[in-house]
Amino acid sequence: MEHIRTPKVEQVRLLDRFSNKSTNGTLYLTATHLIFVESSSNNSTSAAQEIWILHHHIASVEKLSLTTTGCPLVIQCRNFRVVHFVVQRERDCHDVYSSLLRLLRPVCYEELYAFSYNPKQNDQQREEGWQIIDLGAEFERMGVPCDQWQLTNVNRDYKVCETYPRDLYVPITASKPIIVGSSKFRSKGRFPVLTYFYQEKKAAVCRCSQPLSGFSARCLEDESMLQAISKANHNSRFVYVMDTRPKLNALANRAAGKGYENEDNYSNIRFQFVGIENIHVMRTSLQKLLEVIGTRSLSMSDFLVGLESSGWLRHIKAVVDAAIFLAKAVTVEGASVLVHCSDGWDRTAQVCSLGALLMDPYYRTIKGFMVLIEKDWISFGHKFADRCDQLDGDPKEVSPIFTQFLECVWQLTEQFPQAFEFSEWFLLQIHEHVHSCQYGNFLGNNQRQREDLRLRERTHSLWAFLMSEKHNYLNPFYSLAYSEAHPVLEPSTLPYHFKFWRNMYHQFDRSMHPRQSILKTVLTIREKNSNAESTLQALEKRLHQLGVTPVVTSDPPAPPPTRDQRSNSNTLPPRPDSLILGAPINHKEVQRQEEDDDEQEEVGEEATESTDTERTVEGSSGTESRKQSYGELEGTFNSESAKEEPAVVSLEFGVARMTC
Amino acid sequence: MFSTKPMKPTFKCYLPPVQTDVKKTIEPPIKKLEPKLIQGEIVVNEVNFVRKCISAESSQDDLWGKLICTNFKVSFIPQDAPSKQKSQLSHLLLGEHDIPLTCLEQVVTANDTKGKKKVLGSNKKLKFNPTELILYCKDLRIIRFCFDEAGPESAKKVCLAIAHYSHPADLQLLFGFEYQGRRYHASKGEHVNGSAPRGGLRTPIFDLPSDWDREIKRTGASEWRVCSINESYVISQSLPEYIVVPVSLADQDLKQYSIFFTDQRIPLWCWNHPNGSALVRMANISDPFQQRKIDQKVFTAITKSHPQRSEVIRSDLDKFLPNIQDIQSAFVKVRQICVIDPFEESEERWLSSIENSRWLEYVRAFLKHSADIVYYLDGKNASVILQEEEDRDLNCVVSSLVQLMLDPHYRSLIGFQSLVQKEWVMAGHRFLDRCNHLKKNEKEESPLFLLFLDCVWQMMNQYPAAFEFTEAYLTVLSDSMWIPLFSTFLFNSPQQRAQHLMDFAKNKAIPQGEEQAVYFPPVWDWSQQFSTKDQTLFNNPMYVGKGAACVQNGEVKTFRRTKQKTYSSTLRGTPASLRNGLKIGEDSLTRRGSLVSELKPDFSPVKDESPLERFFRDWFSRAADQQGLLIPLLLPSHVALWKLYFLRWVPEACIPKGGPITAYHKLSQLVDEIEILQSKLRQYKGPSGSTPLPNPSRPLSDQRRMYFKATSPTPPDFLTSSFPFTPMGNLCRRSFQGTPISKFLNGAKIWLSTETLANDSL
Repeated sequence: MEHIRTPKVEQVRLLDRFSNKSTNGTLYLTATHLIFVESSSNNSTSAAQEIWILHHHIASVEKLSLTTTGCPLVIQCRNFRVVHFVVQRERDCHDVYSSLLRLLRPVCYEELYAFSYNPKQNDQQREEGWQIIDLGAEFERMGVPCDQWQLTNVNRDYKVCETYPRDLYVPITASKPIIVGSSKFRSKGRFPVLTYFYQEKKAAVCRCSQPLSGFSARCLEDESMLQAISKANHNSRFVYVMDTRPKLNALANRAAGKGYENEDNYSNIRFQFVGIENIHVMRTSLQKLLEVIGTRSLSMSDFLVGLESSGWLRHIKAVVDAAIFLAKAVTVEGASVLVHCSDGWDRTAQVCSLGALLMDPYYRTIKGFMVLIEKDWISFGHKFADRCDQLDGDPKEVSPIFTQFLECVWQLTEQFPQAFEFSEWFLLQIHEHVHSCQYGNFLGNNQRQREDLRLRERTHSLWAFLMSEKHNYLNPFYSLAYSEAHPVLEPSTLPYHFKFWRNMYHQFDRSMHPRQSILKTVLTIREKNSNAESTLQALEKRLHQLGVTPVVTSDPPAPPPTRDQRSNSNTLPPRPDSLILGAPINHKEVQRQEEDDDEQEEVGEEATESTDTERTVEGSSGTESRKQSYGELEGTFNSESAKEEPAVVSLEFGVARMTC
Repeated sequence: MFSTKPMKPTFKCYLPPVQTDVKKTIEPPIKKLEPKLIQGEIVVNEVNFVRKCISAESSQDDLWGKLICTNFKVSFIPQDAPSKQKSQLSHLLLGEHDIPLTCLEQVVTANDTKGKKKVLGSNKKLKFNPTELILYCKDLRIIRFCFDEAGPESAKKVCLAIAHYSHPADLQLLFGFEYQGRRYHASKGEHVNGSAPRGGLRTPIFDLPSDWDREIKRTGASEWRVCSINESYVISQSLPEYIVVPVSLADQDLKQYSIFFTDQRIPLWCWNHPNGSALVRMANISDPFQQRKIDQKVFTAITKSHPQRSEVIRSDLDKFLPNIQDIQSAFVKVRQICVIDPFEESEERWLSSIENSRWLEYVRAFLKHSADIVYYLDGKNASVILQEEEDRDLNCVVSSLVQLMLDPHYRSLIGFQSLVQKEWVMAGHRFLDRCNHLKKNEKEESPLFLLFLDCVWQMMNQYPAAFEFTEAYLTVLSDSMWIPLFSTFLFNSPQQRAQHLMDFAKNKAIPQGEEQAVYFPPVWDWSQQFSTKDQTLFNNPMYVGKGAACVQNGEVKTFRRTKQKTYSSTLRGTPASLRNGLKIGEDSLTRRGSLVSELKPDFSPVKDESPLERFFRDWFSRAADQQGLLIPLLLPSHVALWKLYFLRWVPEACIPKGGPITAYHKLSQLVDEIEILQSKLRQYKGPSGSTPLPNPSRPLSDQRRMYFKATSPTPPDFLTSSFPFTPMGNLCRRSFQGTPISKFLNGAKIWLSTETLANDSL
C-alpha cells in the first residue's frame, strides 16, 4: 500500500498499561493490521506473544515527546484496547505514526476492510450467509400480519422515509394518506410503525421520531395514526407514548419546531418521559469512565468515585429502567406502547430492543439476538456509520449507543444466568465486529445506503460467521425449561445490580482477568457428564448384546436427564478453537478414540478416574499468541485473523459471578 | 398509570401499591399459640394480637400473632400456619420468626400518635405505651411489630423484657450455659460408650498437643516443637495451653522472654511453607529497652528453624492496616447504606456512599497485605513475623488469609474450620468483646471476623472452584456468631473459655474428664443447627480439590505444590515509586474527539519491576493451580460488595428467579447428574468384572452431595437472589413518601447542561 512508509520496525518495546512490565519485539504494518510480535528470546518459557490490531479498530494514535529510551507511541482502540509502544528511533516512530494516521482515515466505504475481506467462500455461500436472518419471517413469528396489522408498501422505494426499511407494518386502519401525513409531521419522516407484537395480549410496540409539534402545531393524520394503533389493541383503551428523553430536552426541542405529543390533542394516549440522556452526554460519560479505569495505581476510592461521577452505570440503568417500563406495560397491562426520542434511532432502538428481550425468550437465544439487532438496529436505521465513526465523519456524531445496549444485555445476563443461550463472549464478539468493518452488516447508516453499496454482493455477513461458531458462544447455564417457565424477565434495577463490565473495558488488559473461569469449570463438568452418559449407554448396549437385563434395584428411579441437557450433551460442541474455551479439556479424549475396542474394561476405569481428575482451570495464560506463519499475513486475510484478535480475552465469564 | 403519584419504573413499585384498610382485616384469634421451646428455655412475657410488618409499602401481607420473649429469643407465632413450601434455610433451633436475644443490636419502641421514640436498654423505664417495636439485629435484619390491637400493658411488658434480657449482666447468663447443661444430661444416655469422642467432630480444636503435632507434621515443620509451658495458662492468659515454638528455644528461655511481651504473648507459630519458611505471629515487646535484645533472640531462633537459615521479615500490621475502630465505623456505615437508608434517597450516590464507608478499601487492604506476606514466604523464601500490639485482632485476619492463599488444605471445609479454630479461637481473638455479646462496651466492638469472611468471599469470587464451601456457608457461619449456644464465639481467650466451662461443668454436675467439646460443643458440628439436606447448601459443586488434601489411608496427605521457583537475587531492584500518570505530550494528534480517553500514559523514566511486582506478574502469567498458591487480583474493579451478606434482607435488591443462585442451581444439577451416572457405572462394573451386580447396601441417595437434584431442571419458583434467605418480613424500615426517582421520571435531571440541550435539538 502506498501509505505504508515503513512496513517493519525492530526493537520496539511494548509497555504494560498497569505495571512496569515491558516486552521487546517487532512492529509490522500491513494494509489492514498493525502487528506486534514479541521477540522469542524474551521469554523462552511461553510462546511469543502477538498483538494484532485492525486499522479500523484504532480510534487514535499519539506520538509523545522523545524520552531517553525512545519515542513513545500510544494507540487507543474502539474495542478498548490501549497499547503503549516505545520505538527506539524517532524517525521510525514518525513513519509508523503518519502511515497510521492515513490508514485509519478511510474516505469512502470501499476502503473499508469488508470490501477486501475474503473468507474463501463462493458467491452462493455468501448469499446463503446473508439469508440467515429474514425479518419477514420474524414478523410472521410474532403473528404479523394479522387481523389488526398489515404490511404496507408505502416505503417500497424509500419515498416516505429514507432511513426506514422498505417493509413496514402498520395498523390496518392506517390508510396511505394517514401514513404520509403522519410522516410529514415526524422528524426525518419517521412515522409510527410496528416493531414488536406481543401476541398473547395483542399488544404492540411501535416506534417513531419526535413530532414536529413546536409549541402548538397539530397534525390530524398523526393523531389518527396513534388512534389507529390504539384501536388495533382491544385489551387497552389507551396507548402509552414513551418519550425516552428527559423532559427538559424535549421542552428545548419545542423551540426548534419539534417536541412531544400534547395529551390534549391525542385521544387515548398516556404520555411519559423516561429520561435517557442524549448521545453527547453518553459519549462524554464513556470518556470519563475510560479515563478513570485507565489510571495506574487506582485507589479503591478513586475507582468508586470515578465510576459514579462518570455516570456511565446510571445511564445504563436508565435504559434498563425504560425497557422494564415498556415490558411491564405490554405484558402486564396488555397496552400498546409507542416509543420515541428525537430521531428515533438511538434511545428508541435501545429501549425497543431491550424491552423485547425482556418479554420474549426468543431474543435471548443466539439466533434471536441476531434477529433483534437486525430488526431494531440495522433495519430501522441506527446510524452505525456515524456512531461508530466508520468514515472520517463528524466527531459529534460518534456515540457508544450500541455498546450501551450490549452492556444492558450483559447486566441482564448477570442477573439471570439461566435465561440466555449466549455467553458474554458473544456480546464481545458482536461489539468487536461492529467496529471492525470486516463484515457488511453494520456498514452505512441505513438500509437504503446499504443497498446502494450493494453490500450483499460485495461483502460477507457477520451472522453467518457467528452461526458457524455458535458452539463458542453457548452459555452452559442456559436452560430452555427456565425460559419456558419464566418467559418475562423481571430484573432489579437498584444501583448495586449494575456492575462495571470488566471484560468489555479491560478486555485486552490481561493482568485484569481472574485466573479462574466458571465457564471452563462448567464445560468440564458437562464433558464429564456426557462421557459418563455415553459410557453408560455403551455398557447398556453391551449388556443387551450379551442378553443380560440390567438390574438397577436400589436406585430411586433414575432421573432422566432433562430435555435441554440431553440435547446439549448429545450435541456437545467440538472443542472450540477460541481462547476462552480453548484449553484441552480432557487429554483422554484422543486416547479413547484409539481404544474403542475394549470398551468395557476401559470404560469403568475411565469413569472412576474422572472423579478425581483435577483440571486446572485458568484464565488467559500466556496464550495470546497463535502460531501463524507470516506468509498468511500478506495479501488477503483468512477468516482466522478476525476472530483471533479478541481471542486474547480471557473471560471471567459472562454469567453471574458464581460464588455460592 | 401515569398519575401524578410518585412511582418507580421498576417491576415492584411500578403499579401503585394496593392499600388495604388494616382495621377491617382484624379477626381476633381464638386459637392458642404455643411457642416452640428448646431445653431450658422459659417464657418470660408474651402479648397477643400483635402485627408483624412484612412489607414497608403495604400492610396487606402483615401477619397477626403472638409475640413472646423467652430467656433465649424473641419469638413470633403467627396465627395462620405458614405455607408448607420450604423456601429458605430452616434452623433446627430457631423458627422462621425467631431472633436470639444475643442477635439484637438495638431495641426501639415508638408511639406514633404521641410522636415518641425510645431506645431501650437494660432496666430502662418506658413512660409511654408503645404502638410499635422495632428490632435492629446484628445479622442486619430489621423487624417491626405493631401493637395497634394488643393490650398496651402487656405490649409494654414484652418490650421491656426483650430489652432487659438482651443485656445480660454476666457471661454465665447467656442462654448457652443453660441449654448445653440440659442437653448434655438429656443426651447422656446416647453417648455412654464414648462412641462419639469429641462429639463426632472432625474439626481439630487445637486444645491438645496432638492437634498441633499433626499440623507440624502436615506442613513439614520439623524444626518446630509443641511447647507446654503455658499449661494451665501459667504464662499467658490469652495464649492457648499448647503452642508451637522453634526447637532451638528452650522452655526456660521462653519463660524468661515472656515477661517482655504484651500479655506475656511469646511468638506463636502459625504455619510452615514447604520451602521451610515459617509464618509466626507475635505481640509487641512492652519494654523498649529489652526490645532489641529480645527481637534478636527471637529472630535468631526462627532463622535457625529455617532449613536455608533464611532471613526473617517482620511486618508490623498496626502501621499498615486500619485499626479496629476504623473497621467498626466502616461497617456501621456500610450497614447504614445497605439496610437502613431508604434506597430511593441513596440511589444516585450508591457508589460514593460505598466509597465513603471505606469498607471495600479495608477489605482490599487486608487482602493486599496478606498477598505481600505470601510473596515473602513463597517468593523470597523468608520466614515472616506478623506483629501487632496485642496479636489478637489484625494478626488473626492476616495470618488466616495468608494461609488460605498458600495452603489448599484450608480451602476445604474441615481445613477452613480448623484455620478459624487455630488463628482465631485459640489465638485468643476477643470474640466476647468484639461481638459485644454483653452490650457493655461499644468501643470494643468490631467486626473483624466478618471482615475476614468478606475477604474469603472475595477470594471465592475470583477462584470459584477452589473452595469446598459456598458463600451460603460463610453467611451462615457469620450468623452463628449471634446464637449463644456454641462455645466458639463466646469467649475472649482459651483461658476464659476453660475457666467458664470448668465452672459450668461443676455447676451442672458434669463429670470431670468429660471433654468440653462434648458438653459445650463448638459451632462446627453443623447438625446442631441444620438438617443434612440443608447442609448440602454448603457444598460447592465446582470444588475440584476434594479428596486431595484429606486423610488418605489414615494418613494426612500434605498438599501438592507447584514447581518451586527461586528468584535470583540479581532481580532485586528498588521498589517502584508510585507515580500518577504525568501529563506530557506533544504531537498528540488524536484522530477525533470521539471515544478517546484524554489520559496520558506515564512514559517518564523507565522503571524496573520490583521483585514483588515480578513475583505477582509471574504468578499471574502461569496457570493457576487449585491445589497450590492462590493470589487474588486486587485492582479496585476486582473488589466487590458481598451482596448475599449485605443485601439478603433487602426486598428491593431481591431478583426473583435470578441471581448467582440460579447458576449454583444449574451446576448442582449437573454435578448431581454426574454422580448418579457414576454410581450407576460402578454398579454395572460390579466386583467380578463383567457381571453387573448392583450394590443394594449403599442407597444412592445417601451419597448425593447436592442440594438441587438432577430431577429439577427448572429452578424452583421460590428461588431468588437472596436464597437461602428471604427478605420477607426481615427488613421493615419505616415507610417514606416522595422519592427522587419520581423526579427522575419527570425528567428533572440536575446534571443537564444547556450545551447538551442545544446539541439535542440539532
